[in-house]
This record gives sequence, C-alpha cells and structure tokens, in this order.
Amino acid sequence: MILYLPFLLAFAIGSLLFQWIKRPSLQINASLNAMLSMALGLGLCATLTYASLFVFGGFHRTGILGLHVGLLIILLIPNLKPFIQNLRSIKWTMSWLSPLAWLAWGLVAYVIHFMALTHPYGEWDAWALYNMKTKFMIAAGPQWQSIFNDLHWYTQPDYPLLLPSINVFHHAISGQDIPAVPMSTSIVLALMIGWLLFAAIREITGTIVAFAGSLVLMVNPFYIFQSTAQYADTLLGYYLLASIVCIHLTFLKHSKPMALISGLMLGYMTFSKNEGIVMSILLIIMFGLYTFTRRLPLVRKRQALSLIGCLLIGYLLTSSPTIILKLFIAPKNKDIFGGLSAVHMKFLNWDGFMLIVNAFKYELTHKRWAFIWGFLAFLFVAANRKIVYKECKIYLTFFVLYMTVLCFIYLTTVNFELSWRLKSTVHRICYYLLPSLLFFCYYALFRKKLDDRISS
Amino acid sequence: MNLRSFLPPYRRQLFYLTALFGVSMMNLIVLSQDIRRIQSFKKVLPYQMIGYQFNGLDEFTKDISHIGYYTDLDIETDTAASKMFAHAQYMLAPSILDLNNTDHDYILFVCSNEKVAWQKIKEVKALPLRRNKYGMILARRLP
Repeated sequence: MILYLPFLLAFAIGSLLFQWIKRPSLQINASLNAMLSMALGLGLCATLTYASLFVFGGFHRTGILGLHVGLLIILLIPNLKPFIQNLRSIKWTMSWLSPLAWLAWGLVAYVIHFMALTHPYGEWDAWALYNMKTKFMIAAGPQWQSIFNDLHWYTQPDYPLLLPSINVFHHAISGQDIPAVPMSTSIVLALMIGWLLFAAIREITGTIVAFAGSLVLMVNPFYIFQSTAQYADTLLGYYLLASIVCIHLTFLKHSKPMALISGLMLGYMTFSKNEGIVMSILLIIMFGLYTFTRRLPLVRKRQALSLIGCLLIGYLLTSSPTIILKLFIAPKNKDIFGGLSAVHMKFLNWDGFMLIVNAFKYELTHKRWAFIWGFLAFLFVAANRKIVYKECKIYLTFFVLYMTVLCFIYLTTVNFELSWRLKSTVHRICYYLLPSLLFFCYYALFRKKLDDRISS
Repeated sequence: MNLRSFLPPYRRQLFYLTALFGVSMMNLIVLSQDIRRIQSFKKVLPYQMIGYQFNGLDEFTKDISHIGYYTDLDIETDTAASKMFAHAQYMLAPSILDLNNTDHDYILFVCSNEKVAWQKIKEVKALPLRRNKYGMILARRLP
C-alpha cells in the first residue's frame, strides 16, 4: 500500500489545485474531475521535486516531504470549505452495471500488475535511461547534474526528466527503491490513461459507451505491455490525452480556468519527452488559429481570444523547467534534425518515404495490436464528415501535422540506419498516440449528441 | 439504462456494436495467449535479469564518482558490448563510467577474455580490488 501513497498525495494536491483554479460554476463529471486532478497533481509534485534537487543541491528526503506537505497545507486552507461542499455536491449514481464495471477494472488492474511483474526493471530505454538517471538523482548528491555532461551519449543527456522526477518524488515519499518505484508508477499510469479516457468519453456521451471504449484500450495486450515497459511514452500519452481533453473542455465550457489548465497540461507534456515539445507547440498553434478564425460576434470573439492568453500563461508556468533545461542545462540533441548540417542525408528521398509508410503499415496491422487500429479506422469512417466539424479540425490537423513532422525527422536521419530507427520507434509512436486518437474518434462520432446538449 | 440512446444517431449502431464486440474478443484472445506464453516462460526464467554480470561490485563502487571502463571490444559496432556497458552503467550508478579511460583511480575491466583484462591491469599498473564470478574486475591504479 505504501507504494501507492505518493500517488494519493499527488492526487490530494492536484484536487485542491484543480478546485482552486476552476470555478464552482464549471461543472464536469466527477470521474473527469478526479483524473484531471491526478494529472495536475502528479506533474506539480514531479516539477517541485525536480526543483528541490537544485534548491537543496541534490536529493533531500525531508526537504521534499516538507515541500509537499507545506504545499498541501497552503492549498488546503483556502480550499477546505469549497472542497467539502464540492465533495457533497457530487452525485454518486450507482446502477446495476457499476459493480460489474469495478469488477472489470479490478481484473484489468490485476492483469496490468501481472504483466508489470514479468519485467519489473522495464524494457531497454526504461532501465538504461530513465531508471538509471533516477538512481543518479536519488543517490549522487550534488553530483546528480553529471547526467547532463559526464555520462555516455547513449544515455540521451538532453531528454526531459518528468518520469525520473516522478520516481524520485515516489521514492522520497514511499521510501521504496528501484525497481518497485518505477514499476508501480507504470501500473498507475497505465490505469490512469484508461480511466482518463473513460471519464473524457463519459463527458461526451453515456457511461456504457465510455466504459466499453476505455476497456477496449485497457485490455489491449500490447497497450498493457508498453505501459508496463516503464517508458516515458506512457507519460507522454497521458499528458497528450489530458491536454486534448482540457482543450476540448475549454471550447465546450468557454472557460478561462480550463484554458489555464490546458496550458498547464501542455507544459507538463513538454517535460515528459522531446516529442512533447513538438506536440505542445502544434496544439497551441492549432488552438490559436482555430480561435482566431472562428466566426463569432465581437464580444464572444474577445472572450474567445482571452482563452489564448490564459492557455499561454499556463503553458509558460509548467514548461519553464523544460525551457531552462533545454537552454541552460542539457546539451543539444544530435538525433533530431541532425541532418540539417552539411552531412549527406541518404534517406531524404522517395525510398526513405516509402520505408516510413511501410513501417507504419506493418505496425498498424500487426497481430499484437489485436485489430484495435481497425476498430479506430471504423470509428473514423463512421464519424464521417464530423471528423472535420468545428474543433475536431484542431485535433485532425494536429495529428496530420505531427505525422508530417515525424516523417521529416525520419527522413533527415543521419546518425542511424532508418530501418533500425523505425523498428525501434514506430510501435512507441503508435502507443502514445492511441489513447488520444481513440478519444478524438469517439468525440467526433458522438459530436451530434453534444451539440444537442449544448443547445438545450 | 437505455444503450440505444447513447449510440450515434444513425444506422451504423449495429456496425459499431459488432466492431466493438469483435475488437474486444480479439483483445481478450491475444491477451490470454500472451499470459499463457508468459506463464510458460516464467517456468524457465522466473525473473528479469538486468546487469547481473556486475553483481557484487556496486557495494565497492558506491562512493566512487568516476570509474574508468575498459573493454577490448568496440561498443560502437558490437551490440553485445554496448549492451554490457549499459548494464554496467545501470548497475553501478551513481558512479559514472568513463569508456576506455584508464586514467581514473578506479577502473572496471570488462574484456572478451580474462587474460586480456589481467594483461591490461599490469600495463596500467593497477591493483585488482574485486573480481566477481562473471569475470568482471574492479582495479585501482597504483599511485
């Protein structure tokens, strides 16, 4: 149980912060409230832990504990009364299906736990990069910053550190060691993605559809395997989904607090992986373009434009660790756009492009995905024109643009063989995009119901 | 709870439910196959083995900030050698392994055969401190 205590603390901090930022008038379902609180809390605790390494000159358990308990008290004082009122106002509706749903989730949690135990150290990048860096952050004292300069280049010294920071926070609170710490983090994140997807779909449509939609993801064998591999891809997938859900809520509720929370989620995404930086920038551009080009009355247009400001404030707040890391601490990445120098780019041609297309075709039809991409394609086709309706345009264009950027990165590969690079990354890209693509397709498919609800 | 009221308002309801059922079944089939495969695999190898080749050395290196890592193999071209280096770095963290730098006070010798290691130890005038059962030798340079 002690293994899961840090997540309870992160949830408590996140709930209070979420409550503080969003106003009582902003109504969202209780499960979505809880899942977004968790995402917010986990990101905040990790960032605070990361900052503490600089403040205390290395890992300091009492310091980290004190910071988080202090933050909890600070957030508790002004929020206690509204928080209790909010808790009372939550209506827990139980149907005959609820026990069945909890039983199914319990079984899923057991299977995820079982799969995690089969590779407790995680897969290659997990133990060789993230968990190894976690060891440095915990045990190297003031020398922990040597992960940026002194380690061999294969350890990717420029990688953002949200996942190791979560694990350091976990270690500080629970007192547990590697591999128990990253293993339990992976289990929690695997469940959180599924539950966040459930809560987000539930905001659009009925509970049964949301439950079935999220369960399709949670019982997917390859999703479970990748989730328990302890890669930062899980965290990236989690914050990508959280960001898209928050952007969706921002438009749905025309809410400035929600725009701020969207910005916070996008900022956390940048600190999870380098790809998160690209994705956050693309999402912000799409959000801004859509808001600018929307045909609205002048007063509503001004309100809509103010959302961009709120989103950017949130983004700057939580992306600042990434900005500082990239500008002042970490060395430059040699793998991405490495070929933009005078080096000959041998894959920047039609053959290279076809190699990428074939790699994705192979991956999406692979048996290990158990036809989930076929199901997604069905949802996409079934959504028909609604796939480009209103804010759906943001998400669709985002996915297309992101794939274009990825394609360009692959084509400009210089330090590796492209086929090797594709073999080791394509399944991971599919994995972290899957939850968000599922949400997007469900959102597009059930859009009509949403319109009806808003107009009523 | 009326399921139909939640479904998209067109004739594709049946297709949706069929697709959902199909993918759920496929998920469960592949998942159960995976679980069975893992269970049989666990009978042979019950635990994941990471960095076991360096077992027993970490208690000697925990207070050393930099350790030279000597290998006679090329880790840029030899995948097994590069994996071995990654295993060593993971196991001995937070000590920093400096590849093929024998100027450090402490040097870890990970060679293709132990004779090469002992020869190199003599060459750099080091004193072996610890050798584990996998033939990994931690040595200290003589002042």
